[in-house]
Amino acid sequence: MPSFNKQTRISPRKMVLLALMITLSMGLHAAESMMPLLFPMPGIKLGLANIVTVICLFIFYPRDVFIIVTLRVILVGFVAGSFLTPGFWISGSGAILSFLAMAAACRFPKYSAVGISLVGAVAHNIGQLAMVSVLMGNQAVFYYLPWLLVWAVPMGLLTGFSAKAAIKALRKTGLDGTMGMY
Amino acid sequence: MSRHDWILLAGIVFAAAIGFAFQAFFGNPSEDQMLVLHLTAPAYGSAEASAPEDAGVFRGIKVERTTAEALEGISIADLESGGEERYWQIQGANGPLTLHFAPGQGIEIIEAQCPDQICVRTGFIRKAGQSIVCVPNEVMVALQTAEPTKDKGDVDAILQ
Repeated sequence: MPSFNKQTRISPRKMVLLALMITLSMGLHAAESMMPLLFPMPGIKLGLANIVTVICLFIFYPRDVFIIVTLRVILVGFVAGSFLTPGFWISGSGAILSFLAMAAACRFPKYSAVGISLVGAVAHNIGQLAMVSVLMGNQAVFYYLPWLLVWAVPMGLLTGFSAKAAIKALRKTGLDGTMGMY
Repeated sequence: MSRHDWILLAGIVFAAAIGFAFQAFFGNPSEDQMLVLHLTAPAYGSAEASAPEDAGVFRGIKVERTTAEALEGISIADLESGGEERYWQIQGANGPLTLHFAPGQGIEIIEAQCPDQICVRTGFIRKAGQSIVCVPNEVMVALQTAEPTKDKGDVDAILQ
């Protein structure tokens, strides 16, 4: 039986890795926002930060990945100056819903990183639309859901294959789950 | 990619296809329905201006009546002259937004005080169900179908 007096200790190694992952996802997020708009439709993004979430789901426990995702959203809000603005809530709800969906998908070992990434891309778009409709008090935006589903496929494949390559490289370094989950 | 990934991918595409089919079958207003321009803005809450729809083809927003008296910034005359190109301004949370109506093309937001300019990049909307959202300005322009409102002569009874 776990004791409540016992302090849950986080190893320095894990702390460094968590910080590294948060920094990495913030960097990818910043790189993405600097990119000129590639797509004619608003709301379609590459979702590069999702690559880190997928990788982390293969390395860390889900609760650690939750911390990474939440801190990334908050810190990006600070850095971009969008903290607590509508844009912050929209991207935050997309990121959290996408994390929840991917963490659930991870429980089915038959999905590879690509499948998990597809689930994440779809959930990200649904989360964003849901937050927009809550903020505007109008469900009209769900008209665009089919388009966002179609676009989620190439975006999910891109992030999925990137994550897969990164996980493969991490295996060689021994930083992944082969050393036991962090 | 595993076989299950492919099944998942097919499922997403299938769900999108169902969504498109649903919109194609039910999205176009029938002849007795109207196309309603639904405008939400912080200055005056929510207002509606209805427009007749000509056999599913967008011909121009023509206002027959407006349910909101407090359409500050939009004169009803602006909307009534459906055949002409029109510009008008509405007040958003961050500042004014300029709406543009082009006959046969639809309605677009051409200028807005917001950081991401998503509303401007959305471009023209002209079909029922489409909308332009500017979340920072708390403004939404949506085209929706609605049952036609009866003329005053059709009123069955007035309760007093």
